[in-house]
Amino acid sequence: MSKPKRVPRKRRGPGRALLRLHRRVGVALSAIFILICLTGILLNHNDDLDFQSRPIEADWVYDWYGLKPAGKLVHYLLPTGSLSSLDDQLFLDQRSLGHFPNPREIAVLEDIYAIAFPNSILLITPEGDIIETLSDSNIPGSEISKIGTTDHRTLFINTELGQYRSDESILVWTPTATKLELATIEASPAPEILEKKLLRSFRGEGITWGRVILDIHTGRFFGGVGKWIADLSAIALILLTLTGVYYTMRYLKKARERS
Amino acid sequence: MTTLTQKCLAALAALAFAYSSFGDTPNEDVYLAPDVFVAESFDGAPPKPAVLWITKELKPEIQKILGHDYPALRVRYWSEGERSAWILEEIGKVKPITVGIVVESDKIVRLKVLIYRESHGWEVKHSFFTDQFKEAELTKKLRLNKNIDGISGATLSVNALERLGRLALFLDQCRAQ
Repeated sequence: MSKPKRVPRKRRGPGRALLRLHRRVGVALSAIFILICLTGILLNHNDDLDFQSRPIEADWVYDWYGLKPAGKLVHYLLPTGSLSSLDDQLFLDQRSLGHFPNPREIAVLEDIYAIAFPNSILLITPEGDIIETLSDSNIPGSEISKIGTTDHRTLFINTELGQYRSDESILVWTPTATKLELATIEASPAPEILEKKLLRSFRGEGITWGRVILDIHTGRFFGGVGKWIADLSAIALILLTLTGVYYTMRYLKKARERS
Repeated sequence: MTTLTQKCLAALAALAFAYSSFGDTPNEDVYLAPDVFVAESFDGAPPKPAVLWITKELKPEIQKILGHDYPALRVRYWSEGERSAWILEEIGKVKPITVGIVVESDKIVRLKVLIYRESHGWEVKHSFFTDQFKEAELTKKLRLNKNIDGISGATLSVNALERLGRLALFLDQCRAQ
């Protein structure tokens, strides 16, 4: 009686499971790997392509980075140019005058623009130089409801204490006998071009292509989670490389045995 | 729960509150309103304000004192005879400190912190510090003729007050000319 021929048992060890994992991880993370590789290539040519000095124009990128003004643009049309307020930043045309609250109204004197805030007044030249900021201790009352002029030489303000008129140097205030109607400049819609330019001024230097590409490469563009996904992808890539080398060596060994 | 345990818990809660609020200061501490300071400086009868324009000739000297340009084209002051009062502002670290300075016969006679907005360095408001400025004069090199002892932890505020002291003396000289 002859012994039955022994069929070599198919090995179902960790090797096969590892191969399955290698394939699945490779397919699942392929899009991320391609993104990381492409951004890596672009970063490698950062200087050649001048990415660091090229700002991005797309508004959604600025919104994504949180560089979006919280409030709306308030605009006043002046005889020479315009005054705008965006998120507590005051602009004469496109020049920033500094941080001030939203203006109430503006009065135009001969060589001075008087900008009224709730409890202070900013005096500027038509060129945008700050002459003086009158704090609440330099003006009567505690809240300005209206500012204006009747002769373009003296200022009038309406406060909770009544109407007051300044001298020509805007140093001393005297109450008016009768309440006068004041010529004042109120807020008006800003031209679209100016709004875009101010938004750009508000954002400062802007965000460059180099910054965005680097942030996509490191995962930071997608927030805190993105950073971890980039880290895990890097670890997965190392594991895939190791398992890839392992299977290649096994394949070569088998190929040698067969020949 | 025993009374002793309750007392201990209450003491712990009080300590925790004190610890958590340590170092917190409101956004703006008004120690003395500027108009009150001016009134006090002239025995309750303040004179009418005047202005000193920061001309091209004054700008470099002020730059030398402050380390930057004065942020306006004119400075308001009150004067009567030899005495003048100035309300000036200078940034300590990030926010401006409002200071009232009275100058008489080219010497500082009073310096007071009126409004403090920084989170640290508020110790400069105390009279043991501000009294050091009394009798200080301006040298030809636009420095004070007496040494002002600093306060540890309030260096930037101390420096800001020293600059304002020098500026007030300089502006007073310009006013008198």
